[in-house]
Amino acid sequence: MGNYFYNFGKWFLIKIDNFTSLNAYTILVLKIFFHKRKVTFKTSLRVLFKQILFTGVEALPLIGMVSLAIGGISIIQSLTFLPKFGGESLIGKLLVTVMVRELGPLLTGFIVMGRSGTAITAEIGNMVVSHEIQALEAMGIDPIRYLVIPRILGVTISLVSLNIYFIILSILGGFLVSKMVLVTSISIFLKKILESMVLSDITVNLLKGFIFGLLISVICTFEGFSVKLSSTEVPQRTTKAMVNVITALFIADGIITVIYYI
Amino acid sequence: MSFKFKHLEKIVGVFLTIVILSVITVIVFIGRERRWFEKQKIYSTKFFRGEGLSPGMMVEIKGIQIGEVKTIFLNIDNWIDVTFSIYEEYTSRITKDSVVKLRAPLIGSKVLEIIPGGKDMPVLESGSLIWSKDTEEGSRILRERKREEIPDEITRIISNVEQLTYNLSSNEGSLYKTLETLQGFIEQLTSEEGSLNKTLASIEAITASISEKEGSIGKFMDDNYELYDNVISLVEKLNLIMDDFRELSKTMAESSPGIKAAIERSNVTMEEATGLIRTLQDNFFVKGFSSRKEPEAVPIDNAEREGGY
Amino acid sequence: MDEHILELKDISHTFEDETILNNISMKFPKGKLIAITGPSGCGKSTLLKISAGLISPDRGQVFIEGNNIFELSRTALFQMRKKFAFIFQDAALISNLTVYNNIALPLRHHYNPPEDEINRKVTGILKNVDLEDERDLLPAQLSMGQRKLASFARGLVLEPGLIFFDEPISGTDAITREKIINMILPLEDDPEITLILVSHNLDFIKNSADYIALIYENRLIAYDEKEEILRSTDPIIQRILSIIIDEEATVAEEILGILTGRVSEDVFK
Repeated sequence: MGNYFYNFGKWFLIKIDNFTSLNAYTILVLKIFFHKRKVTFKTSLRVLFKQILFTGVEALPLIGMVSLAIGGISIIQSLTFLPKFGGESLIGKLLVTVMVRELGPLLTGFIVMGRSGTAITAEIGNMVVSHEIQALEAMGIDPIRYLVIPRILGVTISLVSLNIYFIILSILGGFLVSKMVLVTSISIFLKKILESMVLSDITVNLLKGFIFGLLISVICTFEGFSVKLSSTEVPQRTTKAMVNVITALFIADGIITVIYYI
Repeated sequence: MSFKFKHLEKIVGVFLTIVILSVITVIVFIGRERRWFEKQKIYSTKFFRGEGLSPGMMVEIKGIQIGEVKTIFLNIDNWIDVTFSIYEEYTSRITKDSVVKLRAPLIGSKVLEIIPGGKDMPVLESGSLIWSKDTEEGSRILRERKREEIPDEITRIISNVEQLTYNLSSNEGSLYKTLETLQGFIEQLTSEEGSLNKTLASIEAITASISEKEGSIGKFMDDNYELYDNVISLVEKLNLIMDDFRELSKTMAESSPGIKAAIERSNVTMEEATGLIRTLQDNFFVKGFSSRKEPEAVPIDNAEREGGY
Repeated sequence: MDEHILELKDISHTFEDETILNNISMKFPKGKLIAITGPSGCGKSTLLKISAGLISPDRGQVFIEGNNIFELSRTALFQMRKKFAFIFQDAALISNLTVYNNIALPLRHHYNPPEDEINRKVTGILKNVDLEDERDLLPAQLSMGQRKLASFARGLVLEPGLIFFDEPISGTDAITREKIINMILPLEDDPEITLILVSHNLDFIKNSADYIALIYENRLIAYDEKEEILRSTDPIIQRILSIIIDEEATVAEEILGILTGRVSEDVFK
C-alpha cells in the first residue's frame, strides 16, 4: 500500500516538476522574445516564413476538407431536430456557435498539432541528439531565438489564420447543404450568420487560435528540448507532447469559455 | 526600384492577406449590423427601480429598435441613471415631451420603450434628459397624452364599424340572409295561402261555431288541435329566427367590440320578434292550449266561460 | 603562463549519479595550443563543453577573459560566444541547411552583412577546406571527414580568438586528417588564437601541442608543457600514455576497417 502512495507521490512530483519547468521555459521564451536585439531577424524571418508555409498553407487542403464536411454535417444533423420550416433562422446561430466559438479552434488546433506540433518535437529532438542545438549555442546563436520563436510565431499565426479559413469554409459547407435541403439564398444565409455573429464570437475565436497556437508550439518545442541523449527518446517525447497538448487545449478551451460566457 | 519576391514569400503573403481581409470584412459587416459606424445621439433618463435594466438593452418605439442602453448607474438619490443611444435616423422623433418607460414583453428580455412626443415639439439635443414614466413629470405627460388619445380610440372604433357595416350590407353577410328569411316568413304569414290567414280563418270559424253553439265539443277540440299545431310551428319558426339573431350577435360581439350599435339594432329586431311571439302567446287560444297535458280541462273551462259570456 | 584566456576552478560534474569530473582546476594560456587527453570515457569531452559553457557543471566556475560565464546573462553569454568557436566531434552541422548556408549562418545571425560579402567570405573559407564543389549539398550527403571540415570552416568564419576542438581528427581518413592538421597549424602560430583540443591521437598531440593535460578516471592527473609531460618518469603518467596509445591503435584499426569495407559502427560512438 505504501508503495502505491510512494509511486503516486513520485509520479505527482514528476508532473509538478514538468509543469514548473514548462512555465520557466515559457518565461524564458517570452524574455528572449521581448529582448531588444541589435541585428535584424533576417535569418529568423526566413524560418518563420517556412514555418507558416508548412503549418499554415500546407494544412489548408486538410482543414478545408474537414471544415466543409463539418459545416455540412452539422446542418444536416441540426435539421433532424430543427423544424423544417422556420429552421432557417436558427441555422446561422447554430453554425456560428458551433464553428466559430468551439469546433473551429479545437479542430484546427488538433490538426495543426498532428501535422506540425509532432514534427516540431521530432525535429528539435533530433537536433538535440545530433548536437545541432549545442552547435547553435556554441556559435552564439540562441536556439530559442533561432528555432523556438519563429516556430511559436509561425504556428500561432498559422493557427489563427487556419481558424479563419475553417470558419469561412464551414459556413460555405453549411450553405451548400442548406441549399440542397432548404430554399435559401446566399445573401439571406450570410445575413442570418452575420446577424447572429457578435464581435465577441470573433474575439473569442481569435483569442482561442492565439492561445492554442502558443500552447502547441511552446509545449512541442519544450518536449523537443527535453530529449537528452538518444534518438529513441524522440518518438517518446513526441507522444508525450501530443498528450500534453491535447490536455492543455481542452483545459484552455474550458477556461476561455468560462471566462467569456459566465 | 524593382522588387523580387521568392515563391515562398508570395504564397505565405497570399495566405495571410486573405485572412486579414476576411477578418476585416467580417468585422465591418458585424459593425454595420450593430451600427457602430453610424452617428448616434446620447440621451439619459432616470428610473425609480432598475429591475431588468442592462447595458446593451434595446431601446424601441412601438417595437422597432431605435437604439440601445449604454450605461446604468445608481445615483446618490438611489434613482437609476440610464444613458442610451439613439440611431441618428430616429433622433428627430425624440422631442421634448417624449417619455421613457420599461416594457416587459411576454417573451424575451425587457426593453426600454420611448413614447415619442408631439411632432410640433422641439427635437431634443444629444445629452439631454428624457423623463421616464417613474418621474412625476413623465407620468404627468403620459396622463395628458391619455386624454388626447381618446379621440384616437373613437376613430379606431368608427373605422371598425365601417368595416362591419360593409360586411352587413354585402350580399354574403349573415344579417342579410336572416333578413331575407324573415321577409319570406312574413310574406308567408301575410299571403292569402299563408297559414296565419288559415289560422285566423279557422279561429273565425271556431269562434263562429262557438258563438253559434254549433257542433260538438269534440269537433271543436279537433279544430282546436289543428290551430294549436299551427301556432306551435309558428313559435318554432320564430324561435329559429331568434337563434339566428343570437348567433349573429355573438359573432358580432366576437369579431369586434365596436359592433354594439349593430347588435342593438338587431336586438331591437329581436325584441320585435319576441313581442310578436308574446302577442301570439298572449292570444286567447294559444294561452289556452299552451299545455297539452290537460287539454280537456282548460279549454272546456275557457269555452264554457267564453260561452257563458 | 603570462596571460590566461580561460580558467577552470574546482569543476565537478556528475551525470545520473555517475561522477564524470572530479574537482578539476586549470588555467589556459593565451595563444597556445592545449591538448586534453586521456582514455575514453574519462570526461574529456564533458570538460571541454563545460569550458565553453555548453554544459553547466554541478560545482565550480569557468572564467573566460575574467568573466564567470555561468553568471553572465543569457544574451551576454551568446554575445561572448561570437568570439570563440566550438567544433564538435560529430561536426553537428544544421541538417536542413546546405554547407554554404551552414557556414554563412553565424555571419548572418550576428552581423547580417550584405549578401555579396557573405558570399565572398564563405567562398574563401570553402576554398580553404577544399569543399567548393559541395557547397550546395546537405550535411547528410557528405562524408564524415567532409562534415568535419565544413564544421571547422563554420567555426572559423567569425575569426574566433578561442577555438575548442572535440576530437578534430578521430574518425577521419588520412587525407582529411592531413587537411585538418594543415588548417590547425597556421592557427597555432597566431599568438591571438588559443586552441583547446581534446584528442587521444598522441602522434598528433606530440607534433602540435604546447601544453598537455592528462585526465584519468575523472581527475586531472597532470597538466604541463608538452616536453615536461612526455619526459616525465612518473609511473602513472607513463601508464596513462600507454593506455591512450593502445586505444589509438584500436581506433586506427577500426578506421582501417571502415576504409577497407569492414564497417564497425562503434567508431562513431
